[in-house]
Amino acid sequence: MNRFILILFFSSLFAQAEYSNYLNLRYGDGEGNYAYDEIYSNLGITLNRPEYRLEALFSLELSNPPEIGLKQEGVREFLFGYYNEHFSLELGNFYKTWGRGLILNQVMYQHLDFDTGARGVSIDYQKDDIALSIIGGKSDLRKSTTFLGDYNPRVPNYFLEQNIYGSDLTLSSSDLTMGFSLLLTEQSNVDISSTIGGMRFEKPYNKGDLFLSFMHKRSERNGTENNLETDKGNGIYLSNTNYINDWALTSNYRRYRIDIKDPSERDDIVNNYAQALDVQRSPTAYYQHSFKLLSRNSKQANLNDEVGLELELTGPLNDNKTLLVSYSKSSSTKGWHSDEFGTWNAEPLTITGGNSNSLFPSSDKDSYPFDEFFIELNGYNKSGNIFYRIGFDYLSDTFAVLTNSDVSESFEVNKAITLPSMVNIALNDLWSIEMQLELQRAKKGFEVTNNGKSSFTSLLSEKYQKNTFVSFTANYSPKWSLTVSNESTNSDETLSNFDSNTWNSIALTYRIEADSALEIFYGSIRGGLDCTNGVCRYIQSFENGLRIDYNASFN
Amino acid sequence: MRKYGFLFLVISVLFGQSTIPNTKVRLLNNETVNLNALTNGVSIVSFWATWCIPCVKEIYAIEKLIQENGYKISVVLINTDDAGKIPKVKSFVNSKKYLKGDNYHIVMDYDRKLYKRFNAKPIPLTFITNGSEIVYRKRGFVNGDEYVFKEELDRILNE
Repeated sequence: MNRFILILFFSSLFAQAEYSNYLNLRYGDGEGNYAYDEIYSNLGITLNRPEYRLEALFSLELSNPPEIGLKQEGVREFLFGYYNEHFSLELGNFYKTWGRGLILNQVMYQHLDFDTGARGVSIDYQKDDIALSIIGGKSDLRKSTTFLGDYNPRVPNYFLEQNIYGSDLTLSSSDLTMGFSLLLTEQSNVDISSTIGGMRFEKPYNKGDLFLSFMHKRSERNGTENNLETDKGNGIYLSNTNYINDWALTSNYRRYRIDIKDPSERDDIVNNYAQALDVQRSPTAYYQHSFKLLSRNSKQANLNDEVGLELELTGPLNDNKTLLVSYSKSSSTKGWHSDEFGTWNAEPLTITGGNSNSLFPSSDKDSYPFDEFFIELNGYNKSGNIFYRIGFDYLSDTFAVLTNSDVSESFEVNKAITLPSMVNIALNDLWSIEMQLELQRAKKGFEVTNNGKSSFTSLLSEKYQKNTFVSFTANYSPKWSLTVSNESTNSDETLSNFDSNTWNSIALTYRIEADSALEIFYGSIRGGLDCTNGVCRYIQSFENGLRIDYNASFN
Repeated sequence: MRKYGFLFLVISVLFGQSTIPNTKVRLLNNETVNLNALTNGVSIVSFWATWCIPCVKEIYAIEKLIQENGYKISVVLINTDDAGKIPKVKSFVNSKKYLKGDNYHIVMDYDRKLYKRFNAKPIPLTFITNGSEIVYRKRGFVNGDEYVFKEELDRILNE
């Protein structure tokens, strides 16, 4: 009888519902015990009705081990949702962004094993000019950090469980949108809680639009609010875009003073408790590069203590060419100076003079200054069969203040110039080729001043690191692509004398159907930083191995 | 678990189909609309991001295809950039005259609801829809793929 009811139930469901499935199989086996084996399957059932919609989504993972992260066998995520015109109710794993993320911006970067989604309940109501969102759930975050033992770049060693509760109200009119948010968090493995409140305004105006948001955060440990500056954080993000015909000039300003720590503790994600929460992911306002060498040399955002500016000008030079010019500058909100006992003090600011950088970014070395200038020209030729991108990037980053006393200074710096380029040529309706060439010269090491004498100690065996990336791809539309690539360097601080400094690979992609493809890769991939939107992770290099990747959608 | 996963895989292969859901979405200008109101008639729906070069090339190829063939179709571009990149999306759209046309709709999906619902990773993921029904689905873009879109569009428009 039970079986009959079950068959009846499923038959009725199959007849009315839509099904979807995305399957991704990944296999890799390289030298140095770098092997992985992953199966992901995203399953969806949707029941559409004129008045409402029901959805069930499941992400299944079978990995032992995954390329990055913890091995898993079973349901990685699920979501049951009810949606009608004004109301929605979701149970399961949800991802939310309020405003532009100053208070809540949950993301999933699977390639970095960085997932700030939460499992719980999410309710949304929207009618006319009012939108209300209420959430409650638990977020499990994991990271790899050198601040704990058993560090492994592929396996996390730091785990953080948090309960999050909050609500967001958005009021819109034709010329102004306002939002008000409140988020409460409780860390479940230690007695730490935080309250974050904020508001935002968005106003389009003639030839432009303006966005402004504020947040304030208070943290408590063991039920007590310590009256420390670091426990009462605040943040501001301002963005203005002006349009002059087809050109746009965007200026972004941000100032995050969430948890200000001296250089000895600044990067310690384990032992500090009043930090910006990972579910926040405030706007970083750094240029997000799509060139290989530039994305590896990106800035790791510090959302606890940073003041920054970004200016970006984009527009067409003619019908086929676009110019982009971007300048970013940031620093910590305080400069750091150590006394004769090695104790760090935020004031006075520098031994070289300098100014207060609480409102605008400083260029003083004691304030972690970062500057990047990037210019790119891209476009098509007149007949439209050649697409090209050519750029220039200058980056200067002081990412560690090691000592800064009256007698000695020492800062760890990275300065790089990069010339990236690519060209894609459509030879006919079926064949096309793509070539990419990127050249980079970097200076990495310690700028040291002792008793007035300045010197530079390189981290590298050569004075300059010279990186080259070359790739050539042949495409035969719509079926296959073949890519051959080579990356090399003359020196790398992470390589021993026995390691190769050249990474070659060949990859064949065969598109079986329009939405299913098989990629077979053989060769090596250089390791190093991999960054997305200011989230960076050190990725281990993959040496002389085979990778197979198959993905397909069944709907 | 494997047993149920396999069972579902078989069901979805046999019965799999998909439509554009009747869900509210936010446009780049902050307006809220129903997604399937944007895909009235024949349309192209594509998941994209400003950093995704194949996506940018595909958008250009779609526009060229529309111009050369005089298609009266709407193009729904579902943006998957992070919320902090909204100014960048606005600048990008402003720099391309055709993206400001009435037949282009830029949907902001920074909650990644549509992205997850349609398993859009990796992008670009592009659909051709007839009303709310997805009649063609393609992932990735290389030069020449626009002629596959043309074949599909001609077939649907001549039906």
